[in-house]
Amino acid sequence: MDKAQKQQMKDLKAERIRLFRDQANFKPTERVPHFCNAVTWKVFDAGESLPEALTDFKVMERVVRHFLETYNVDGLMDVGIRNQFNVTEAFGSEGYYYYTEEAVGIKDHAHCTVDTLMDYLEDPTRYTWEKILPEKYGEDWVNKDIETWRKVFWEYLKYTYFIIHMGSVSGKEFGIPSLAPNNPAKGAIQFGIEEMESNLLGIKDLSIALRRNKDLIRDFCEKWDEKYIDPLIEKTYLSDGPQDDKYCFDASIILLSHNILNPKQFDTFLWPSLKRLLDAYAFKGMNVRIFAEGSILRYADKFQYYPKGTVTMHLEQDDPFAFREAAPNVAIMGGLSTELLSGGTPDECVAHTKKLCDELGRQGGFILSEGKMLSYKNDCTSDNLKAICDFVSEYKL
Amino acid sequence: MDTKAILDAMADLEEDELMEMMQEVMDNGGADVNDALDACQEGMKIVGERFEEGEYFVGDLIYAGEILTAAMEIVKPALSGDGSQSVGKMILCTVKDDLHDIGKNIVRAMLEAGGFEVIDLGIDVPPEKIVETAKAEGIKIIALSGVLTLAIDSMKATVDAFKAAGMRDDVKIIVGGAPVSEAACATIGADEWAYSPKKTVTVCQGWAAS
Ligand code: B12
Repeated sequence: MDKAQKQQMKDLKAERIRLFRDQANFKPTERVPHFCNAVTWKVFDAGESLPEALTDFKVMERVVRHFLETYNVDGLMDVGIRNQFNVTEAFGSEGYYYYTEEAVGIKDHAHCTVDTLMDYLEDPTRYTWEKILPEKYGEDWVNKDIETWRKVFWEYLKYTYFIIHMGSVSGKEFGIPSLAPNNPAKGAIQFGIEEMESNLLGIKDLSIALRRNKDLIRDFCEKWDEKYIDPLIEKTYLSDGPQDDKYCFDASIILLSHNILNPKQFDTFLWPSLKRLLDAYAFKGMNVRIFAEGSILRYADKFQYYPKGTVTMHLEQDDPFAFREAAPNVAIMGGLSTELLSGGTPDECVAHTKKLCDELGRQGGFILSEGKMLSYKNDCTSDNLKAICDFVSEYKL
Repeated sequence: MDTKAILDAMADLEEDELMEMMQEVMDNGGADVNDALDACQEGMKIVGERFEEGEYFVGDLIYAGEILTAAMEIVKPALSGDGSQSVGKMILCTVKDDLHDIGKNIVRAMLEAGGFEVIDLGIDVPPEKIVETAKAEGIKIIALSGVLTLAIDSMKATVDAFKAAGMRDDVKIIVGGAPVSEAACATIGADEWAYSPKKTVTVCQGWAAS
């Protein structure tokens, strides 16, 4: 790339960040930006083999390049760094993951029982060392020979480099901005109830514990907040506010537990923590994207009390028009279902995209995206995605 | 025995009370076991209704399934064991390549509460295994679950496997799970689809009665 091209990509990236931020802030823009939620679908689309792409960085880089050369998207959720298995495999184990030619899978797993939940929270590192790693890699995991460890560290280094490299490829060569900064306190922003659901207890055991061990669950959430959420809130209040030249959003949160919690439980176990954090973002004029897995429509009114520009809800299964009606102050990310992307025609996709832009995006408040992570071969057709990208990048509001 | 109290305890998800009352049934010789189970099933119906009305959520359904199973465990020794209460046998599973089973397990609990003897083949179940089991056990009702978009393909493959085995007209197939819709049901070639466990039970009971 020559200097002029580099500058061009820099400008494009800045322009895209502005589009995302303005839409999130309900400021009208000349067009609606598209943050594409394509994950392993990219591999099939590039005609590569899934097992190879997941274990060979060169193949994955080809996949991402193919995607960004083919589809004119403004943002990309995964630039090839999710689900890379070299580190785990160097250890001689699959961990909880497996993959075939068609799909990547995680097997159901939980790290704790209600009896060990607090042990984890007291000292997560120790618990991981003593309980989680032996479960994952076998009792003798520490005693692997030096060659194995060398390989593991080497793969880990390579993976770290790959993450940086792909950030640079997508940003510098294709003008793709990053979604949001990582939360330095603990990677992604995670609430106690979410951690119990996704990692520590699993959906089933948590659902039961919510009734059988209510006090324990409340206690865990409170202690979790002290450890992880309170420092984050403090940091937010002390921060300089929005980082509008670097990221599309100031923070990103994934929510899942609203799918199992009834309204009373939602108000007890999730909302108090989430609200305090959102209050901080609202106070600082920062914007947060929330990926709401499943359906969050029934809790839409909770988010309605924040001023425009605070919350952008990335919807998975909810109808965006219904959500807009329920919470007009909340910006929406989404609109594209796998049903349409795989079963519709390019014309139908364009017509639907046009409707979304016209009805949800004219006054700001809408970012086009796919609800589900595009994962499998039949989640989308290439012609449909191309038609959508071509349309939305040209369509003037 | 207070059947109304059992019904309410099940519907309100009052585990301790329910277990106590089931234990009482056993302590009294177990003669009332069938009535007690009927009351549990009625209570479970209300759980399904409260879910549809938005009062209960997925977590409550999971918990309901758990305590229903526990209640049945307590009174099992007093059951006659000839399956006389069963409205019929059916197969339920998560289809090939899909490992998600939370929805399936909820549906199983509801079907069991609805009087079915459910053969649960588990997760990631290939079409051949479903067809073989249906053949070996003479099963007429098949319920397929899946939450991955990929599951639609596997469900279709399962329906096709029944066709290939010359058994399609012998069985009724219902599909469900997050990506299943009217349109998907048509693509798959299934007889019915449902999101709500309540509809699932009603449809299957209708089939069992016909
Ligand atoms: C929990 C979960 C997991 C758990 C599963 C635990 C378990 N034991 O089931 C774990 C962590 C293991 C997991 C793994 C993976 N998951 Co997952 N998972 C989910 C999640 C969060 C919830 C699913 C769920 O249980 N919902 C609750 C139940 C109750 O709902 P339900 O199944 O729809 O059931 C209801 C109805 O549909 C109906 N029903 C259900 N079955 C039946 C059957 C019949 C016959 C009838 C009539 C009705 C019926 O009754 C239920 C009650 O109403 C969803 C996101 C979401 N919110 O849906 C992602 C999701 C399904 N997972 C996804 C993915 C991608 C994966 C992984 C590939 C992870 C990865 N590598 O990135 C692996 C795949 C493993 C595999 N091969 O299956 C994607 C699928 C995307 C796609 N294109 O399809 C989703 C949608 C997440 C997302 N936002 O993109 N997952």
